[in-house]
Amino acid sequence: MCADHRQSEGREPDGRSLFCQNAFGALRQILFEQFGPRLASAVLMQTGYKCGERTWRRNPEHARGDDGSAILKMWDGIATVDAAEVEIDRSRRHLRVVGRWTDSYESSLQLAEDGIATAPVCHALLGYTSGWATAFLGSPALAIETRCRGRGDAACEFEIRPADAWNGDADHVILALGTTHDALVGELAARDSERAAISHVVTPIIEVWDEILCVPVVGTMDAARNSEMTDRVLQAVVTRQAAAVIIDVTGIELMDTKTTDHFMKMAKAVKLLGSEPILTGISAAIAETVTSIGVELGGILTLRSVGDALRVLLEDDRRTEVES
Amino acid sequence: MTERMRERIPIIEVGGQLLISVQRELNDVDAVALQNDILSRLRESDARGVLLDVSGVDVVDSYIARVFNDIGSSTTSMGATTILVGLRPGVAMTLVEMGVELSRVRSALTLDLAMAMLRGDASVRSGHLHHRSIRERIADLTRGREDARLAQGSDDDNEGPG
Repeated sequence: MCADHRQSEGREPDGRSLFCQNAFGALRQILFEQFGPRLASAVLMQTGYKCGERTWRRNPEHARGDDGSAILKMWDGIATVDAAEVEIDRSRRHLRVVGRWTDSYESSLQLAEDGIATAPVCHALLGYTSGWATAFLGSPALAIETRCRGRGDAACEFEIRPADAWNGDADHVILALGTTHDALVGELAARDSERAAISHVVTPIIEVWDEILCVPVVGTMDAARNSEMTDRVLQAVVTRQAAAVIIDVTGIELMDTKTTDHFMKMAKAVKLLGSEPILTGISAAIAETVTSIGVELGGILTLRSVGDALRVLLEDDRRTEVES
Repeated sequence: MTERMRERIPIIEVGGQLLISVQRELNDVDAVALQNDILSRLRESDARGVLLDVSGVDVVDSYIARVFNDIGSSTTSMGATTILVGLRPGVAMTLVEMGVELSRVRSALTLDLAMAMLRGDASVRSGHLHHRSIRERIADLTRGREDARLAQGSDDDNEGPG
């Protein structure tokens, strides 16, 4: 999408246009992964829209000739169009184009990478078409997809009309094109604070017994969360003069080398302060991983459960089962 | 010269233990001077413990950490135990991040707890006893597992033919 078609027109795709395709594919993937489908499709559609406007401005030959053939030139090098049905009367600001794209790159990407989608996927192409048509007509025009190859249809079928001639059928396009920077930033910020809130909420530090703290860790660990958590644990050890800290990892989703390292660091820091760390809740699967990747949990006592840890700490007679 | 003029860190002997409260940032010269002072003082007295209160220290770099370890191992060889008291959370985190181990000294949260650890005194308030006995039980358990692991290893080694 938006490869500079003046470079590749009439030639075999060269390195540059292949790079453009790869770059677009990678960008699309990152957008969907990082921002979710709603924001990703809005960004793609707006990018396409801007490219469409520019293509109109930078290609004076698009404006020459009769209107009918001019409009078909917009997809040169971007998509192949057949079966187009064109009604144009620029003086009355009337425009209606119905046609088919047979080789939308976005559909190909969708099918190759994520399988059949539940809704049309040619966001950038729709944006591009809308942008170009708006510049061409001199007043807002919008394109929608009625069928899409990425959704499992035989080809992508589109229709262009002036914005006010859609009667609500193009609202999703209007919404996507109107998603502003502020809305995007707002949504991203909300996501971030949600993530931060989750990190805070799920790791309470509980004083389960006199001078015994328990930290039930849930979810995934990363460096930022680890240092924030270690910080709070160490503060709690000092203010409550904890004799022991039970770090329970039952709720940890993924225990890899890095995560193990995070917990070892937390335990060592607790030990340096003069309190005893105990690691509990290491599942059979995690134990296997830890052994196979050769991580040493040396010097830190590991027990099966929080209950076992409490039994050891409180010197309960029923602690026979914790002996390895 | 100005470094040498800095005041020595006082060492107080109380109840058969040396008590050193470091209430300022330590530089390398301070740390080495302190190490020498502790060892010579230990030679003169019959103290069994060295309580090093570092609650006023904000920065412990790898050199200072090494000096702490050195103090720990030399006092051990002189028959005394060194306990680092009141290490700050931030300092502990930094040391762990740097990968520095303070394996030759023990740690305690407060001076009271450190004294109780050294005295092995059962008459202190239950909380202190709690700390001490937990530490001992955990040490026993960890040691037991280590021994079991070593025994397992030597069994494997001795495995002869038939």
